[in-house]
Amino acid sequence: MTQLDPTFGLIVLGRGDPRLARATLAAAETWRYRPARIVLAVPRGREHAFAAMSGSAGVTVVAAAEPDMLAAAVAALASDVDIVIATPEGVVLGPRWLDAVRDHVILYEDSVAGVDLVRQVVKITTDGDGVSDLAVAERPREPGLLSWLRGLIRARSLLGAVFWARVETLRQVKLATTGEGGDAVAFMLALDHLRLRGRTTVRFTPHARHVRLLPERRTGFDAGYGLYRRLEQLAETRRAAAAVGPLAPSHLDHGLERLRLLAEQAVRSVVGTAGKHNAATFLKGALAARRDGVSVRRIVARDLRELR
Amino acid sequence: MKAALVFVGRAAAASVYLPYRSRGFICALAEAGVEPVVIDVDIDPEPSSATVPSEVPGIVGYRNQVDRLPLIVAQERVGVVQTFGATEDLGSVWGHVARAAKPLAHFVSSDGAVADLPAGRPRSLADLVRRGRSLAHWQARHASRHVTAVLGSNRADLGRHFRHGFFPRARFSAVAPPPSPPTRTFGVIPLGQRRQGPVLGFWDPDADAEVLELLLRAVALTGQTDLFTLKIAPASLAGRAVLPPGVTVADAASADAFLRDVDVLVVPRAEDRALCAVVAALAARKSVIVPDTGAAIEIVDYGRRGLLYAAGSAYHLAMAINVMAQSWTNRPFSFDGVEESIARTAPDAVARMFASAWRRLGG
Repeated sequence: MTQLDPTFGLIVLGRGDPRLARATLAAAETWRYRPARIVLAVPRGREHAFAAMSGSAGVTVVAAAEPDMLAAAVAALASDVDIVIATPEGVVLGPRWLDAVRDHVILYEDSVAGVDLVRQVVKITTDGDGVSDLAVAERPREPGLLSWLRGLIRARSLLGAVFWARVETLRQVKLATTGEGGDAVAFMLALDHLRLRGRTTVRFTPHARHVRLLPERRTGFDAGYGLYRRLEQLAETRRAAAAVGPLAPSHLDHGLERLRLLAEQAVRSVVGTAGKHNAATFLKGALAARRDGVSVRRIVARDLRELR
Repeated sequence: MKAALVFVGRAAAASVYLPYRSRGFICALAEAGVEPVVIDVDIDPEPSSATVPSEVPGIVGYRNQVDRLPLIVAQERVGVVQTFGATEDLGSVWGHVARAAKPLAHFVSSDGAVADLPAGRPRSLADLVRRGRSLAHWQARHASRHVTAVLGSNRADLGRHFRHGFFPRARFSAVAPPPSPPTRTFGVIPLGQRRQGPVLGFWDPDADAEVLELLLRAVALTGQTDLFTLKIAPASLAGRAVLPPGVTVADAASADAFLRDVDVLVVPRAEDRALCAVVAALAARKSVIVPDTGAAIEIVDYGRRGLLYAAGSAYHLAMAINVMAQSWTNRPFSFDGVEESIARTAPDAVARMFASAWRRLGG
């Protein structure tokens, strides 16, 4: 049935930095059609980091275990909205993005969900903890060619991503999130379920920007290990599912994704200017996960051989 | 407003499209202020595509070759052309209608819709050739640029067309569920008086051996046939597959009558013609197990009013049957809003949807 004036609900997946979450929420205030509900989903145990935002008007904070953050946030607003928009902290959505999605949803009833990948990046040097307002809208945009190249090379799991869906089509669909990085993968897994129910789209959007705070001093080992391991597990699950039914098409090419992940981090760790250490440790983590995966497969194959 | 309803090829006789030329639908169109002209276009000379006479006397009808379409459209001065039929049959039709320079809408149904290619990379050259699309597919895709609006019985089949590059210039798409005849509501058995195990039912007069085989394979895979019983109807299905001992054939004249004796309706394949039975079951407040795609999923509100399973998989259907049988006394389904969903399938509601789409096109 045509929804001439759909209501929107915004979910921000907050993980660690309230400044990034605040930048995402500040962008929503510039939208021509304001969201009916705003939910900030945070990992259980990290509520204190976002305590200042829980008091702000219209923002509901939902704390859940890391894998259930998205599902808990959708459950919190499902009864009040027609369209749910979910994005990790640091993705700043311009008003034109919402206008485009709204027009699309009104005109095309068959369209049920989509993932918009964000290749425009805003790098902000904070130099200390005193900066509370990142003022992303005032920052200059990077050249289009650079964004295009990033979209070509970078692993989808490391790009900023926005997920939108008609809320009624999300019933009996598993919505699981992973740790930092990998939101795009989690969103695309949901799309794989939803493609049986209607039109699903994955595309790049020019109307959003992904904020990255510099300098990045954290080690990337855990993130690299976790993300690569997760991608391997997904590929394994897909192979296992093929044994009990026809192989369903997927929005994510698991082999290409892992290749992109390794290649980009390798290049960044050699020729990158900022975050070189982070990229090198990320790559080490990913390679360690790959090594562990290979050894586990070998052990399983050997055990099966011995059983025979 | 005058609208040409163009039925192409075997669509003229297919059971899925019959409701769109029935008395109820045509009269409802007239009530909505639309004067229909029915045009049947010959594609193949097989007797299976013979025209079904219109149920409404006095309606203008044509049966002709595809190249006469622009002439008929111009002669009748129609405001909009609506096509029905298998997508791959329609390439030349859309091309000829475009010559008449009238807004063109197409209706996508589960019958004749574009299918997804098998996932995964081809393993050999022969596999690659087998996966390839036919020439008719590419011709239809190219000609689909003339279509200015798309209506469909369900989001899944509509979405698959868009995903495969069809209808690049469609200004909008709308979902209009297949029309279903009115159903009768009968008393719901109170929870305390229900049997221990549910009686599953399957109703489809046109079911082929493939559908029956999928259903029976799923029943065998459950491994718990003592928890439920399965009835299939009508009786003519008995000869189409070898039935195992636990499956019985019911001799029921209609879906309404059949549903009196069953607790759960099972739909093994996502087809529009299954919708009448699903609507009848929901009207009678019976549980349903339907595939995770197609028109039925929208009527069961994406799992709110029934159990879903991955379409085409006997394993997942078996798991759904097991879940239904094991949680029989405590099913978490709600029938809230079911009357509104059923009302959307009434012929006059569907006709209003069509008329409103045609008016959006400026017909």
